[in-house]
Amino acid sequence: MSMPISADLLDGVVLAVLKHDDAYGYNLTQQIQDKIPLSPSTLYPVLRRLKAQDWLETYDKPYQGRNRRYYRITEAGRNHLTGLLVEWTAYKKQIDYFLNPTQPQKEA
Amino acid sequence: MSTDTYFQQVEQLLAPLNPDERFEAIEYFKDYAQDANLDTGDALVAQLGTPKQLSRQILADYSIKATENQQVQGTKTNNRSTMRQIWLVLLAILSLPMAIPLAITVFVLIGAAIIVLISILGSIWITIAAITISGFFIGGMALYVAVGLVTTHLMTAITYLGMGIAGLGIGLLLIPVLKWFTQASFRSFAKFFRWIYQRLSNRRQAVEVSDK
Repeated sequence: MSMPISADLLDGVVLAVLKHDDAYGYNLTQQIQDKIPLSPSTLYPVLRRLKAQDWLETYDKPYQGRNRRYYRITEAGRNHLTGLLVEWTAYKKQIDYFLNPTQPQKEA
Repeated sequence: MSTDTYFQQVEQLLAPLNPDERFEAIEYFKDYAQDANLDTGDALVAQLGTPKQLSRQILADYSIKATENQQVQGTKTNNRSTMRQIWLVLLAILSLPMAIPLAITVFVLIGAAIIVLISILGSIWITIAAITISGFFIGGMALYVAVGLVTTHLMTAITYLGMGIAGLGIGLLLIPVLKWFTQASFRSFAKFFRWIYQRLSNRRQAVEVSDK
């Protein structure tokens, strides 16, 4: 995809994936890379920022003789995701009005 | 290059960070490398870039300060989207990390401010609305009386007719005022919430910076 994904949207994508289940860094990257092209180092700053906002928390779990760091969404994170979804839906509708006018438009 | 050398180099290049931040970044990418089976330096470079590239990317994120995108609203705001903004800001305020006593104080203050604002704006609104409605009511009554008197007391009827038309006129004049006032109240409300949120998030960012 040639269009850059905004930081807010990437936040939303990460939170949405974590809403289903906790994940560790590599696993999370894989899940998102499956659908969106993403360099392996992209998610570290995102996860750090989300954690600083208390939208997610971390815990360590032993795996093959080492500790693996897992990420878990918080209640505040779920609230933020809901807010993002509202904004994204409105934004998508505005753009679709012009780019995809064949779709039936519902009046807001 | 071995994986150890790779991470040693990254660690050196991350010198501007404080030890905790450096440790956390290194741990994340070591974790990542092991989960992704990147067991040679070359594999690491292929996936994560050279130590220099990786460290530059990590450092870049730290230098991005609070210049978060101030969204420019190009579209005309209506009351509903203003309400939504208020809700989003409220949610955002609730999700801000704060010490509990500070949080309680802030919420009580916000609550008090909201009640005061609603009372003031509400009473002004009700006053305007009352004048509008009584204008219509008195106007209608006066016109009714005028019609009843027109055959017997012509002059009194004309007086009542004048009062009726004046009353209706006042009512009609105040309708746009009422509408404007409602919208202005919603807008100032939203502005007030944005202001609170900015104050709170500035405070938090200031704390983050001073931690370094």
